[in-house]
Formats: sequence, C-alpha cells, structure tokens
Amino acid sequence: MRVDAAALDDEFEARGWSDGLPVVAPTRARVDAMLACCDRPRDAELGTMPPRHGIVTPEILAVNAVMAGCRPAYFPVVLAAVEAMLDPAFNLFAVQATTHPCAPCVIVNGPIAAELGINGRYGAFGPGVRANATIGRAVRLVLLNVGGAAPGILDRSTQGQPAKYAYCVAENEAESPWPPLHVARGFDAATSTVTVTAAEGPHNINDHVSTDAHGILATLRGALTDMGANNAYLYGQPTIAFGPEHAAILAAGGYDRAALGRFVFEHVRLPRELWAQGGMAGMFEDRFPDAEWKPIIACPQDLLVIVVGGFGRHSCWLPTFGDTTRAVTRAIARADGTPLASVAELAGRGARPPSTS
Amino acid sequence: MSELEILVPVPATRTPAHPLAPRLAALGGRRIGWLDNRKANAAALLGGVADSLAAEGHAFARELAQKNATAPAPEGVMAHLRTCDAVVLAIAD
Repeated sequence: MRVDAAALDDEFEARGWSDGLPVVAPTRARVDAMLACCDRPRDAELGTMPPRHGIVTPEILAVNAVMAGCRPAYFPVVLAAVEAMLDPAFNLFAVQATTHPCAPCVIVNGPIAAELGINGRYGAFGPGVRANATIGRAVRLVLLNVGGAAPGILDRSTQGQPAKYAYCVAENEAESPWPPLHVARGFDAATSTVTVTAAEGPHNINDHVSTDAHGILATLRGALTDMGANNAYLYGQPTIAFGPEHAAILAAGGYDRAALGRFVFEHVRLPRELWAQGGMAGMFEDRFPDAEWKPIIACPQDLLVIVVGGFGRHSCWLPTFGDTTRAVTRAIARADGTPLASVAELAGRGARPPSTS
Repeated sequence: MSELEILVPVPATRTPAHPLAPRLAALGGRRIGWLDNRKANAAALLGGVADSLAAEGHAFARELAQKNATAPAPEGVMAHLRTCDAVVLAIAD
C-alpha cells in the first residue's frame, strides 16, 4: 500500500499497527534486507499466532522487525523467539489474552548474543542497546500485529506493564559461576538459543550487606514470598536473574542451580493463614501439594536461574503467569534445524523466493 | 506529498474451526452439565442461567462440575460431563 511519508506514524497509529512509538517504514527494500538473514522461503508458513490467528511467515516477521528498528542480523533471533512462542507448551493464547500483565521475556544465550551485542550486563533489562530494544520491540509488534493482542481488545491485561514494549536480555555468561541457562536446559554451550518465559517485569532484590550465602538467601526468601504473584497459587517457572556479585557469593557458599531450586521450593512458602485471606484463595487448592505451607514452585527444577547485570548488589526475579505456560528454549538455527554458529552464516544469502513461485 | 510504498504488517488469518455441537430440541428430561471455572462470577452466571431456564418451565437435571481456570478439566470431570446431554461453560473473571 502507499502512504504519505510525512503521515506514516499517524497512519499506522490510526490503523492499530504500532505500539504507540514511531516506526521505521517497512518498505520492500528494507524488508528484503531483513530477509537476507533468513534461509527460508519468505512465505513459508510457521503457524498461526493467537488469539487473532494471523498467519506467521518470515516476511510478515521481517515487516515487523523493520518497523521495530532491527538490524537484519537480529532477524534469526526474532524468528527463533517467535517459533518458541508458538510451541504449544508456551500457551501463547492465554499469555496474550489474560488479565495478568505477563509478557514474553526473550533470554538469549550462546555466542550469538555477544556477536549481536545483546546486553547482559549493566542495565540489561533497560534501555540503551539497540539489539535488546529492537529485538524485544519486534517481538511485541509481532504479538500485536500478527497475534492481534491490542490492549483492551484481544489483550485483556488489566494494567499492562512496561516490559510489553520490549523484553529481551542476554545472560551474562562470562561473569556467571554456573553453566548458562541453555546448557541447563539441554543445549551445548556453543549453541545459541532463545528462551521465552511469560513473565512480569523484573522485581528488584536488593542485598547490599550480605557477604555469605545465608544472607543472600534470606533476602531472596523475603522477596519471593509474594502473595500477589500468580506463582503463589499457580506455581510455574519464575526466573531469578542474579547480579554477578550475588551469584559469586552464592557459588562460594556451595549453591549451584539445583541447590537454589531446592532452597526456593523448601523455604519460599506462604502459610495458610496468609494465602487463605485473599489472592486467589478458593480457586486452585486442588493442586496444592502442601496447603499449610504452600511453595511457589511445584518442584525445585521449575526455578529458572540466570545471571544478568554489571557490578552492584542487586538481583531481580521475574514472576510468571503460572503453570499454564512453560518456558520454551529454541536454538537459533537454519531452516533445517542446524544451529547457527554465527548469524554471518546467513547474512547476504537472502531469503529464498516464495515457495509458490 | 512524498509517498512511500510499504508492506502491511498485519497478515491474513486462519481461525481454527470450532463447530457448534448439535442443538437439543428441548431441555425437558435432559441432563445438563454446568462447568464452573472457579473464578468469582462463574457460579453466579451459571446459576442465573440455570435458574432462568427452570423458571421458564424447562425441567432438566443439573450436573455441576468445576475445573480450575487455567488448565483443561481433569479426565474425571470430563468423564462426568460426557454423561450429560449438553454442557454449559462459564468463563468468568
């Protein structure tokens, strides 16, 4: 279609095609440049995206990635994130349509995170880095334009949240004392992956004084005992994103990923006298393994642990929608499923022409 | 005015087919299931509908069932509902 260049943003806003911010015009040349980093036919159907059930193709993803401001090299990450969200285990229909404020958080692991400059250090959940900002924004524009998740229409989130604009972060693998998330989830360290989790925005965990694991864990226990979080009644897979300093203290105290999961399962619990007074009391008790002291995860393995950030005594946790959605990890890969060692393997190859031509 | 040729960011849709179940000719003498998702207004909505139909003279048996709001109904609940002639589901919030 043809639009007045000077009125592009007004036109897109009026048609409900934007997130409210100005967009980059998705011209044919720009979309083709985006698809230069994709080895699939531009019209290959990858599925439909609920709740609107828009047909997902590389080309429609590229249009939205252009609008978001992505560099073409980012496109394999966007595509992998979308494929992960379309996994039935992620339950995107519910994630999109719920009154809860969850947004898919895209966690990038492996060498491609560094290659693209995806921030996993200072301010990684915040602004300032194009890769994080535009990959996250592209995912949101796809959820809006392909999935139809317009606020108040098919996205019924009561209040929304800022992370619905963009929610993409890399794990700070270099400063983590533990194997990275994707290795814990069964991938080789050399394979680059995206993990999507339907999460609230990061909730800060400030511990400025502890010099041993005991203190950090006490702070953790206080922060995660949160009756207002869905996990208090619905379990699921919350993520703790430890700052490197907190992670180092915990590792020195002998805590690895498994031990942290056991700690949260065993010690972050809500007593009946508290949970029964409000929240979602009366709705899910049939699933409580221990109603007197209710855990926030159903088993230790359901805690996701990553390391994010620069120096400083802060960590955060990402409460989730609950166990109706599961985190999904996908390799950033070629069309045949072979993981990409580098996005440069695709750059300039160009998307194949439409499969029908 | 400078014009741009742009690609539309909204694709065509393919909505899954959800055909309606065959309609009952009458409710009299039938077993009607009422599936409550345990959200605050579900029971009120279902009860109101059932009471209204009963007040209109439809003499049906009420089979009440519950599921939690975020997961499919357990097999035991589904087995119970399969014995009904029709099921009414309330999705409340």
